[in-house]
Amino acid sequence: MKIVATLKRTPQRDTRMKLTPEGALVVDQVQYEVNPFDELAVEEALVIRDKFGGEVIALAVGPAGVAEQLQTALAMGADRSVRVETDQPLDPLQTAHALAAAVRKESPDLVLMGKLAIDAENGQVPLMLAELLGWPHASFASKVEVAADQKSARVTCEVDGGLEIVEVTLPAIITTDLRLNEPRYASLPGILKAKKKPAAVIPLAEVGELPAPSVSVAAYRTLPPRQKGEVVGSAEELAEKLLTKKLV
Amino acid sequence: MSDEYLYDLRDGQFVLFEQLRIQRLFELPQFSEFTVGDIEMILAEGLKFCQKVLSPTNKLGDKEGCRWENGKVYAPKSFHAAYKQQCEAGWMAMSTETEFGGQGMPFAVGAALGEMFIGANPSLSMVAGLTRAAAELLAAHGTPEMKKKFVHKMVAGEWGGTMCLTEPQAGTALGDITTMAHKRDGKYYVRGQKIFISGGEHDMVDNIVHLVLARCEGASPGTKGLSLFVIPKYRVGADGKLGEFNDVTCAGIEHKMGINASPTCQLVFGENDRCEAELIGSEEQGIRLMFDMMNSARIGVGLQGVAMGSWAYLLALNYARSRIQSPEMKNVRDAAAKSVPIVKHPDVRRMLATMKALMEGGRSLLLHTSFCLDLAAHSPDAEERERLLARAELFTPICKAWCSDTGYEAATLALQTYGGHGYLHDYPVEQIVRDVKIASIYEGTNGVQALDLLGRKVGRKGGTTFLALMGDIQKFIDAQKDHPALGAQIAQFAGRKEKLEATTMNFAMQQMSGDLDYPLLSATPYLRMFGNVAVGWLLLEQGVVAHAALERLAADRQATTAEARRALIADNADARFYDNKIKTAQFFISNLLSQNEHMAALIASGDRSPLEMSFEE
Repeated sequence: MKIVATLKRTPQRDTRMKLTPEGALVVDQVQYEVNPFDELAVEEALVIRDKFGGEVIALAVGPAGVAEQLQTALAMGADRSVRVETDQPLDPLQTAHALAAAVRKESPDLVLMGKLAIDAENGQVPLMLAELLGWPHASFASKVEVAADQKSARVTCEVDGGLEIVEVTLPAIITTDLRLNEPRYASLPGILKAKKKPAAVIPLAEVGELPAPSVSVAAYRTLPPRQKGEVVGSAEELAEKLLTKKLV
Repeated sequence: MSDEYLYDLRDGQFVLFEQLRIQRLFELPQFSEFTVGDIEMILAEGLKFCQKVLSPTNKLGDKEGCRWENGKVYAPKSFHAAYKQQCEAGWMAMSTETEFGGQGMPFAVGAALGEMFIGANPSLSMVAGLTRAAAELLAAHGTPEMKKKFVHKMVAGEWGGTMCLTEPQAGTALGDITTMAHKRDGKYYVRGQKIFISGGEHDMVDNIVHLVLARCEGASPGTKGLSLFVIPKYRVGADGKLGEFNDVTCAGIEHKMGINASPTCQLVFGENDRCEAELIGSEEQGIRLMFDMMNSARIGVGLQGVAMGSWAYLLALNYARSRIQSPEMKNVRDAAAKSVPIVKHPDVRRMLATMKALMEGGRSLLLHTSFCLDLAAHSPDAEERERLLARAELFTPICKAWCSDTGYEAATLALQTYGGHGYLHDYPVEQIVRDVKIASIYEGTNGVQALDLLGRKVGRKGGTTFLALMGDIQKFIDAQKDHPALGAQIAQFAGRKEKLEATTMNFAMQQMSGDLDYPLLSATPYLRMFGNVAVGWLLLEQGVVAHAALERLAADRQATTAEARRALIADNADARFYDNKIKTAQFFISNLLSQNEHMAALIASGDRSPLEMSFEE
């Protein structure tokens, strides 16, 4: 099976982001890592490949620095990587277009993606990509079972209040949820082998015309500091205060 | 508050790539595959593994401990999976040669990673570390059959390895070893009892390969008569398959103050006279061969000191930033003044600075020594190889003793920083204090290290290694004496270095005049004094490197005014790191190296009263 696992780089989990007075993010000292949900996608791709044979391609859209996160996927065991090169921030639809072009070029049997990236938490790209490709998709997978004939997959999806089991024909897009697996750590020989694996770079211009951006970030604001709490004497007093402060 | 293991990745990278500049090695054929980027990734991934896989088992292992039952030893339940993962991911033998299944990385990188693995779980790392050391001894000195039979399995972590020296009556005095080897039908059989054998028996591996010091029949007395044998728990056939039990039994395990999850075993060899052994090298070569293993193990123990002391420091630093207590002293009369994090209080800062300087200095000494070993093995220049091997040997007892002593000091200072909370099992520091204490005791007590330094290492080759080191330090002083930020500290340091030379000369004279007792009485303070000078040199070198880097950064950002520099330091993590380095060097020289004045005075006092007290009755 040919499996693509997409990944995005996101700021390390404990990063405290700083803002300029104009409300832009200060990113020049930010350390990045593979978006945790995408790590699950890479892991699942490796598990499926190890069962059925084939190859795993780690795919990302972004600047040169993203090569580091692709390297992590290669060190975990992916066979090669593809990066669509751009220094520009893309909105979800533009990203989906860039990914669609790269996926069409590879024509894989399966694309695994994190259900969202922990920075913007939009969770839109996988669905847009499925739409652009005209492929079925299954979201929030906690279990993926590829059929023996490799023509379809049975996916257990986490939905509100329970599980939904769906079957998709392949090729398809499947997004990962937290319970799907536990991503492996890169092994030391894996790290040393990673840099010898093929790492292709596609200039953004080669993926074709992108739509004009439909979403742009105007500014970021930090949350106002938390006000000191206050102990009230009774429920009536509480209701009174909420009403006068127009909080209800 | 998290119990997760912490390591200062920025400092490790700074020492390797900015201070030592180990990238020099990547020009050599052995290491031409590596780049700085690879090593950075390896360090980051290694740390992730330590934090996520090993660290969670550390406290569990301490609580559960090891269990002995009918000759079998059971490791803590959480250890098996973690150990298996460590072996499978190739973190078992990072600097071992690739020929035997190791990763063939420079010793300096192996040492940096070693610090993380030991810090994240010192008990589990004992098992892995001793296995690796035993495998390396066999790889260097074993017969081709031994290598084939044992080394690959050990490097893969499938089989364990130990070093069996101590007996009930023979601890430091190895010459008193009574374990005997008899020859029968062309084979050696060993009988005797060993104690304090780390990893001597446990259920994480299928076989355990013991390296045992024993005396052949009719051999010379003392250490000279000892031979080294390889004795597997289960015999191994020519096809590599496990055969019958080799008459090695575990009679019990010790119940210890710390490293509770490391099985410390009493082993009985040849209870039924069926304990087959193979000789390594030739008869009466044992102690020399064992010292090979002991030297690398001693650097490993130094790493334990820094690993645990440094983790304790980083925990204390986080705690001091979050624990809010009392207003700053300048506002103490203002009833409305807000309480501040204790990191604002000067006495807490004194403790933090002390821990930082000691542990970063120790890390630098250990990585410097490991880098000397890399160059001693691979430099194309024969003179450099010889000089740096001698340097590494001179530094080995200092690495072991100075780093384990200061590791314990840092751990207790960290506990002090926590106040009453540090004394509780709820926080990780008390375990660190218990776990690190052993480092000053095993692999030759720190007293023995001091004797080794003074009695053997300093005087070796007519003192030329010592003099060459002093020459290198003097060159540094001469080159940097007008340094804009550290000139005053370098001048002060020059005086301490001269005191060390004078003290060393005095010892030599006393020894020549036949007075052995007085130098021995002063060996421990002498080692500390020597270690302080070595570390002072390396921290000053760090300060000089950091100063240059900070200047470059300031020039890049056009931070020319004092105010712009302050803003740069406040805003930029790299600038802050470098600025702290300069201040760490200043602090070490003015506050910690000044101990040398006191030690030089007590050594020079000539006071022999401890020799003359009647302790005997």
